[in-house]
Amino acid sequence: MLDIRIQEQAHTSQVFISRKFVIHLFEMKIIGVDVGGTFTDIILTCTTTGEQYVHKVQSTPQSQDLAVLRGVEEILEQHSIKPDDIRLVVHGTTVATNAMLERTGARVVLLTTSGLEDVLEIGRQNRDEIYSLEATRAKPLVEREDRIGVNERVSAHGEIVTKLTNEDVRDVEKAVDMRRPDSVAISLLFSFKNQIHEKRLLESLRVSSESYIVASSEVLPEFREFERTSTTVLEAYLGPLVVNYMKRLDNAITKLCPNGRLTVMQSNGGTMLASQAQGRTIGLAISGLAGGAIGGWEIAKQNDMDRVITLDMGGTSCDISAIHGQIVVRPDNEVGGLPLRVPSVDVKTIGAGGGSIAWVDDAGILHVGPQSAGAVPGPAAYGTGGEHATVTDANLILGRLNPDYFLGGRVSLDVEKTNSAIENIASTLRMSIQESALGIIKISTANMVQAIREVTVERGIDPREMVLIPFGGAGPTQAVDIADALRIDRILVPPYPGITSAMGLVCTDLRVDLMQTLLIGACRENETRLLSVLKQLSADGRSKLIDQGAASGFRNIWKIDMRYSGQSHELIVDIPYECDDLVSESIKRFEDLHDDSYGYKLPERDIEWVTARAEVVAVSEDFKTLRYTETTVAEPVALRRVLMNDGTYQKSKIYRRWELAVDQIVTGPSIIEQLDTTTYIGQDWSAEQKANGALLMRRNEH
Amino acid sequence: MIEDPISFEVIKNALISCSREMSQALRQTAFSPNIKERRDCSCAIFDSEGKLVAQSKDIPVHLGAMPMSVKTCINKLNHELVDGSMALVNDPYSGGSHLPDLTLVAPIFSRGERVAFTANRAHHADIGGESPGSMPGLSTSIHEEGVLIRPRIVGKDFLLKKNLVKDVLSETRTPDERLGDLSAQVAANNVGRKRLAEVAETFGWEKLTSSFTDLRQYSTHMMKQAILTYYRKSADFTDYLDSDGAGNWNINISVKIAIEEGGVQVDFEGTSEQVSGNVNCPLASTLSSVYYVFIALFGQDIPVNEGCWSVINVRVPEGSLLNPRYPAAVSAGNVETSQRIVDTTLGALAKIVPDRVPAASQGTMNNLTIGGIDPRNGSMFSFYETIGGGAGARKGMDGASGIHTHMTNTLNTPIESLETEYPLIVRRYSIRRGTGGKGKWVGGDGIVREIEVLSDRCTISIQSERRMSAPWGLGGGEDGETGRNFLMLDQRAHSLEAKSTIVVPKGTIVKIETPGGGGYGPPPT
Repeated sequence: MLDIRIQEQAHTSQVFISRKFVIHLFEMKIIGVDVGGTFTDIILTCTTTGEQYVHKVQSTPQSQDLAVLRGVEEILEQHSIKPDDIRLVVHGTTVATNAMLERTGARVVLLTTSGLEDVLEIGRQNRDEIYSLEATRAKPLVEREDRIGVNERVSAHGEIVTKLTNEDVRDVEKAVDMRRPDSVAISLLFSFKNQIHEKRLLESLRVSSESYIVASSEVLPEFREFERTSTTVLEAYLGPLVVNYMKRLDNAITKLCPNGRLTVMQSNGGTMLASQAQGRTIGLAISGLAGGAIGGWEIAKQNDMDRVITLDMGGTSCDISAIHGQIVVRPDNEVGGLPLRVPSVDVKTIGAGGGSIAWVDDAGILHVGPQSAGAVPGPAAYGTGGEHATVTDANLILGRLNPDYFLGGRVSLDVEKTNSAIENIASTLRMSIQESALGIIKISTANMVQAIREVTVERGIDPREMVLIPFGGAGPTQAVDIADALRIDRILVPPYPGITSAMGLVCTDLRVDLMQTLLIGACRENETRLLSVLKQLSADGRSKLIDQGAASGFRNIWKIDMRYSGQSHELIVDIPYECDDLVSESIKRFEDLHDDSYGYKLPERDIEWVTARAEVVAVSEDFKTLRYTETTVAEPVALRRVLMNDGTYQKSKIYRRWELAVDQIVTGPSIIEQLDTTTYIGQDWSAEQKANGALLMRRNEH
Repeated sequence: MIEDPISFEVIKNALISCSREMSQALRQTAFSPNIKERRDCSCAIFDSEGKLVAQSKDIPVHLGAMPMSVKTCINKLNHELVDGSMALVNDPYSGGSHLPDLTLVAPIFSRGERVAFTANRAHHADIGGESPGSMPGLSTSIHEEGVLIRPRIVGKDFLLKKNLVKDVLSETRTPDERLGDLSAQVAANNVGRKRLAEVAETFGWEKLTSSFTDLRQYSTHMMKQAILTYYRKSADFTDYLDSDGAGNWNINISVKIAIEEGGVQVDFEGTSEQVSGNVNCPLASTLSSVYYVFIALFGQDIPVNEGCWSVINVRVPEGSLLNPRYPAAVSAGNVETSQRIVDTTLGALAKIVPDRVPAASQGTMNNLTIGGIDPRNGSMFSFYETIGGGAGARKGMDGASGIHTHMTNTLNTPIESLETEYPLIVRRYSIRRGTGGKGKWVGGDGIVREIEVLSDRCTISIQSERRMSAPWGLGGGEDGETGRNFLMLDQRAHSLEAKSTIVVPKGTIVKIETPGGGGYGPPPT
């Protein structure tokens, strides 16, 4: 029997839900803490019993660790859990992302091959917008006077053309010393072919300087000098800040939970020990986004679904990920206009949330977003000063949201303020309030549909075959509209849509990705070299995981980036681990993949091995599925007139999520309300409450 | 005005994303670095009459010019454009730009009726002619620049037919690469066709084609409103090209702009006659340049389609520099003259819309081609690039440095890719400090690029501009510095002309210094 208690405290927006099961002794307890723009979500789970507790505290953007610590302390206290029982705290943070977006990182000195000091500034020499008279691009993170040319040169084949002398090294030391930077980034041409000069500088500077020092051949041993340099600079830029944050939090957590280790979610969807962030902080660039995709995927797996679209729709943004059999980790990313060559979980973020603002242009065309009313002033309905009509306001007009039970009654919605905000739009459009509200939902839906198309159709994936997993506070309210537009016929709503990202943290694997660029022909004479690089990378990866406390159960994966000689973009080819015929195996797989992706092969062309990649994963204990046992069939708590997409009103049944019985089927139009979200079941849909807590919605067959 | 604003917005987005998907397919399947690394290609969707409906955001000079190519194919081939066919064209005298830009047009059918077209344009790294890379510095006739392809069918059943392009391939230095890139262009059109069919499945072709009209009308309306803010204003301006590489200097481009009831009149009467060198600009590229200016200045939030320029009436005298007759040489027109057309048009508009027009940007693309035999494998190579420079400052904003402006937006080739692929070494790639014009807001700085050749008897071709007349400042701002080209051999520097083709020995360094942008407002004293 599920036990839900809701507590409201007057002065904060704290809410917690707890789920109680029989508690076993000696189990391992894990805490996940996910920091969002408005709330910091905490989940506490037990790996043997599946027991879960959930808590939310207001985020503290100036110093994220304050809310993290408070949340952890409170959840322990509220459920009388001994801090000693906590073995692991997994953290998803936006510290690095925010530092990039807000440009609050370290002062960096950059060392480059002489003559190429401005590569960082010129970038790829293109501009962001083509029809713009102001050509602009992101400003480099290092000022010109802090970029120092080093008299050295390595050729395309890794031979030393101009040797770095002792005198050169001393000059560099002096130049760095004069500038007294927080950190130093070293990125020399072709260092991925031969790192001897970078190493030399790295070693001598580590002796002569107190700064945070990193070299491109360690951060990103890959070709394309701008992307490598930019990534290395980012590591230097984020390093001091992120490492300090991690140290501070790690100490505090250790004090609080003496048996607990603090790990942190990386962009690639694996975790690492917070105490080992040194030199690897760019791996945390989108730490805060990966958890959502993983949480959604975990729910999918529990329900035996292997092709899903996760849609995490909050107040200001919507994070979308298309998952096809496994979470996709892409080799690059971009944050705030800065390219980042680190493996990242494939998440697309757009400015579309419950707070997105509706507006009308000069020709009378309705738009929604990307501007958002955010939490402050918020949608008009919040009555906290927002005057613009938002998606949340439109949902209130349609009757999908309950003014008295928004976030479980925590926020009461002001229907009058909403009416007048939508009325402004309606009079400009010369439409009724109802038509305008429907229009806002349709356009907001279209924006999300467009983003989903980009991660599915544009990559050759048919969304119609997939299951939509909506979560975040606003996702389940609009899921049927999105599914209808994409002709998706199944939607799976997680048990706790509002904390799915935090849940993602506690079911994450430990993981390391390593790579080495080779740029050599795919032939017998190079096979030994490739094999030894792959083996070395895997061994390095395993030892890194052992440092983090993993003991066994390693999964090793090999991949090679390959191309036809003369091409400049590669396909990433999966290779069986410890494959004993790298040449034939990789060539066959590459040609098949090329044919599959592009529709042709070029049998007479030479093929190249560009980059060797090894991934090592220590698989986490299976996250225990929730057991939900309610047997009494729920009756609607109310009936409400809800405006359908065809413009008619229908009496819709209103249910409370945790009153539904297992296997109970609710037919649309209905609305299921719960503390952290409202699920709208459209006219042609029905929903089934499952024993694992998820709600499965299906489009009715005609 | 718009009956169903919601479907309108949804269809508009779907069409844009359709063009973008075409572009992505083209880049991913193409073979030459110029398309894959530098992204010198563009894609778009047209209605059954060849009017532009939606486009990818790639290279401005391609995008405004493609509709003429599509219309030419419809006029010349009409009944041959059956389902599954594809037409190829590069003819600069009827919708083309310069010979390396190959445009591939494909009709789309629904129930036996031709309802739309997709098309894409890609710059091929070699299309024959007298110098490797087909961007000669000194050509005086189209026939020295490569193969001229009049509209012809090259594809059937959605596939490229090799025997229909055999003659073209035999003229180029790199036929394998051409075939690969042409296949990529076919793939892009096929992706476009499939995606449009999906949109049609949702809305029906009838609604979709009628929305083509709605979209056009919407853009016309928005553009007209924006332009008519300056009703009854008029201005003129003259700017100059340095040279044509064949003995003509200070070649003038003159424009008169008048904003009238129906829209804007742009008249190039008084512009130089066509010249013997290769700076003649084909009409499609001329129009493209003018359209770019008006879209950038007035229509940044307006969907780009034929509706945008239905209110822009451009008059270009036939036989002039900007509307040359066969067999004028044109290879630099699309890349260099197009930039000066922008400068000239903006110069006039600065008198009408003073606060929103920036000072002149670098006004050139600094085209550099290096070809020869690669000593590492004995085979021919041909490297082509364009180099960024300074952007003009505008009121409230300094110009960006080392960036591509106006009619192009191609990327650079990474040095580590360039040195691996070609017998070349990049000695220097830096911002040319202090070359932006001074002003209250300063112009962006140019670039210095030095490339050493590691092979004997390399042919270097340069097409560049703003080596004599500087990018102008505005509102009291100073001019940007002019660009310079050099050869450096044995520690000695030799100046090169703005248009050059020269054969050099191993160890020669070619050094290009690109212009700075103009400043805005009087500099602080």
